[in-house]
Formats: sequence, structure tokens, C-alpha cells
Amino acid sequence: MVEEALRLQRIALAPGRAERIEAALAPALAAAARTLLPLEFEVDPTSYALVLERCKA
Amino acid sequence: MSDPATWSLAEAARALRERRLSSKELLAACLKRIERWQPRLNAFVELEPEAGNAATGPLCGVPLAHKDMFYRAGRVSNCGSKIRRGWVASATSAALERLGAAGALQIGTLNMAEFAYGPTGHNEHFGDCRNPWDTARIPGGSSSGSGAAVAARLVFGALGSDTGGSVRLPAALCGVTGLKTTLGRVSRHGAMPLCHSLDTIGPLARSAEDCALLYGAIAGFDARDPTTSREPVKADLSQPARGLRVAFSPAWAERDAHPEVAKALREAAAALRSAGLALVEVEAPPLEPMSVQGMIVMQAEASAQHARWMRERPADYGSAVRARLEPGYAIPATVYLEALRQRSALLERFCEDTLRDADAFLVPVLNLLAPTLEETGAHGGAEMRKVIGEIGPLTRWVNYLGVPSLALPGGFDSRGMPIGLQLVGRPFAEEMLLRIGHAFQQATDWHLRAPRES
Repeated sequence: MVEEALRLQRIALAPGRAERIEAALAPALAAAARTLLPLEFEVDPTSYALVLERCKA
Repeated sequence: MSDPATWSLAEAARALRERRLSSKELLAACLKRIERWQPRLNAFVELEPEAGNAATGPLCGVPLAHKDMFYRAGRVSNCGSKIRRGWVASATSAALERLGAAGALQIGTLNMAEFAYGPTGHNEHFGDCRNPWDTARIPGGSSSGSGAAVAARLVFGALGSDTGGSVRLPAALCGVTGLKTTLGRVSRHGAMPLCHSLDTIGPLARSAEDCALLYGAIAGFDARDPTTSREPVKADLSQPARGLRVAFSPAWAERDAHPEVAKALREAAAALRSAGLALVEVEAPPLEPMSVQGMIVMQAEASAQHARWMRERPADYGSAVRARLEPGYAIPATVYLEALRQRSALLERFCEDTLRDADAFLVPVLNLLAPTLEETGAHGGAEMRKVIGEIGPLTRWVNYLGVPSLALPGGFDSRGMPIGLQLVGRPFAEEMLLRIGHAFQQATDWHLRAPRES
């Protein structure tokens, strides 16, 4: 999967590198998915600027 | 008279204003130290001893040097890389313009991790930067030269950039004070980009007071950077910190911190209490989950930023940076965007829970003792990846939330290396963090200790 994804983006990899990236990335992606907060449907990344303003000192 | 290069920035600026010392004499004192230290540290990429500045202001005549990624019209910014080696910028960065307008001198450019994408201070193109407390150990990165030069008293302050800890890691490892600013507080116009959702610019200096002087000069709205805030800039340390509240998690320190780091954290809490601040016990925020989300954002954005050169000139990257960039192309867009969606909710939680009854959260910068350059370099063996992985988790979450953090020297470990602590605040709370840091530094002397020339 990694090899194909990078090939399509024209990023060259050394032989055997795709397997090592996959091995390192899989637990990171799993960890990211495991800790997600249940967000309201309406939340999108642009709300961040408003929250930064709302939370200020 | 003691060596004026060892004075604080505030003392040096005062001496210049009162004409007890000339700018030429101060510069000569710095150059003398640079001559002795540079061969051991490799902190400077280029020295500009002819620096001059006709402007008058609060930093008039004070010698500074900056990470080699702040552009100056007609001058070279190598960005720590082979790809940008010898590249001449056509415009000057907003932060440098503002320091220039305040009268500061720029006497050189400082070493850094290639494209600011590395936490140790290694650099395959310009040579590794070394820690002045022990030249076998890492100075931290990516603002490695900034940390080393300020710690060795070669300059009075330096700009760094902080995308995942790049101001605070070298500040902590080199035993100086560093301010990671709120996202949008300091203009990024004319500074090398890495990750647009995380990049911030901040000063490294010898004290919170010195950082306040530099921060006051560089912060504020800039129409050329649409992410900058119009929030007024305040950097007044004359108000006492007594009564301000600092959140601290003894349970986290007991459970998760390295014993020597935990001891420094407890002693810092006691010092703050003795300085009249209130210590509030809290549960630590979800540091690891926030760090994981921050890593996703960092990898995806850094790899996108470098996509063209990674296609056209991959062999011109150092091996470590290329290895850091490659995984970013395999992160699904949905995972990246989900990490950005999570950010608002996690920021609100941090402010509403951790800082509910407090003005700042006290936590270490690093949870390990300073490793060696060898342990974390290309020949570091099987442990290398693990050690490097342990460097960023306590800093990355702060960039992910976008909040400010002040890194302060908080003691020394059993090997004589500095231990750094950080005060993390609400958005735009830089002045409050600097006031707390100043109070801490009036109650302790860690920031006054300097590495010896051997």
C-alpha cells in the first residue's frame, strides 16, 4: 500500500523502505484512531481559529 | 569589570543606554568568545562581525544571531540544507525587520537541523552542532545553533522556530530560556515554512526577562501574514506574579516522569510556591494522544511542503530528513483532516480542564536525560529510533494546540546536564508565562549558570 501510494505521488523509495515505513506507520495510525474524541457532526477544522480566540487569556 | 558578553541582554542594553559601554566593545566581547567556542560547538554557519545598525530602540547595539532560516533581502539563507545552500532571499523576514527597527545587531546566522526537521542538532550538510555543557551530547533541535550560542554566551539572544519543540528542546538541553509563541502571534513572513498549522517563531535568551524584550519587539499583527492576530502585544514584567496559579500534576510526575526529571519538577513547584504563586494539583491532560495527533499533522504538512524537491532532488536531502519525510506521503488525507478536526475540542479541554483554576501548566520539556550525538545519529544502532522518538512527545502537543509555552532551566541531572521545564498557557498568554518565569528565576539561579570553557 505504501509503495503504491508513494509511486503514484512520484516519491522514489529505496528497496525495502516501503515495508519499513508501513511497519512504523501502522501503529501510529492505529494510535491516532484509538484516541479520537467523539465530535459533533458540524465540527470542521476551520472552527479552530474561533476556539483559539475564545480560549485566550 | 566582568566579561560583558556574560551579562544578560537586559543588563547589556541598559549599559549601552547609559553609555557605560559602547556597542563596539560589546560586539568585541562576543567575538572573542565566538573565536574560542565556535570550533567546539559549530553553532555559527556564518559570522558577520561587521554588523551595524543605525536604528535606536530598546535593543540598540545588542549583538544577536539567528537560525539560518530567517530571510534577509540580498543575503544567503541556507535553511540547514544542501538544496538551499547559497540561496539568496529577495525579502527580509518580518521578525528580523522588527528586531532591526529595535536597534539589534545581527552578527551571524546559526546552525540548525536541515529544513528545521530534526530534534537533535545533527546536520549532514553543515556539520553537527554540539552542546556547550558536554560537546558529546546533543544541543537539541531544530534551533540547535540558537540554543548553543545563547548558552555559551556568544550572543545575547537568538530567534528560533518551533513546529514541534524546536525552540524549547534546544533551550532545555542547553540550559537557556525559550519562548514558543501562540500560533499567529509572530509573523512568519519571510521565514522558512515547514508546517503551516504548527509553525511558530520565538526567542531563545538567558532569562525570561530577556525573552520578554525580544518577544515585545517581534510580536504583533503583520498584514503580510494573514494568520497573525490583532490581539495587543504585552510584555510587561513589572506586575508581580504573586497570586498567579500554576497547575501541576504530581501523579503524572510520579507515574510517568524520569526520576531525575520528576525531582526537578517537584523542586520547581516548591520554588514557585515560595515565590508566592499558588500551586494547583491537576490531572495531566492527554499528552500522548495529543502528541500523536500533532505528529500526524506535522508529517502530512511537512511532506506536502517538500513534495516538489522530494520528487526532483531526493538525493540532496540528508538521509535522516528524507527518512522523516517519506512516511508523510502515506498518511491518508482523512486521518490528517480528522487530526485537525480534533484540535479545537482538545484545545477547549486543555483550557477548561487543566487550566480551569490555573494560569499555566508546569511540565518538563523532555522526559529523558540528554543523549549523545552518537546515540541519536546515523550510527546509533537499534536504539537510535527509540531515543529520538522519546525527544518530542512533551513538546509536540503544545504546537498541536497552538498555545504558548515558556521553557526554563529547572536544574541539572546527575551528569551535569541541564533539565528544562515548561510553563504552558492559554492562547496569547505569553506575558503571563513570562511573569511567572521571571518570578521563578528570581527565586532560583539555574538560568545564571553557564557552561565552563575547558
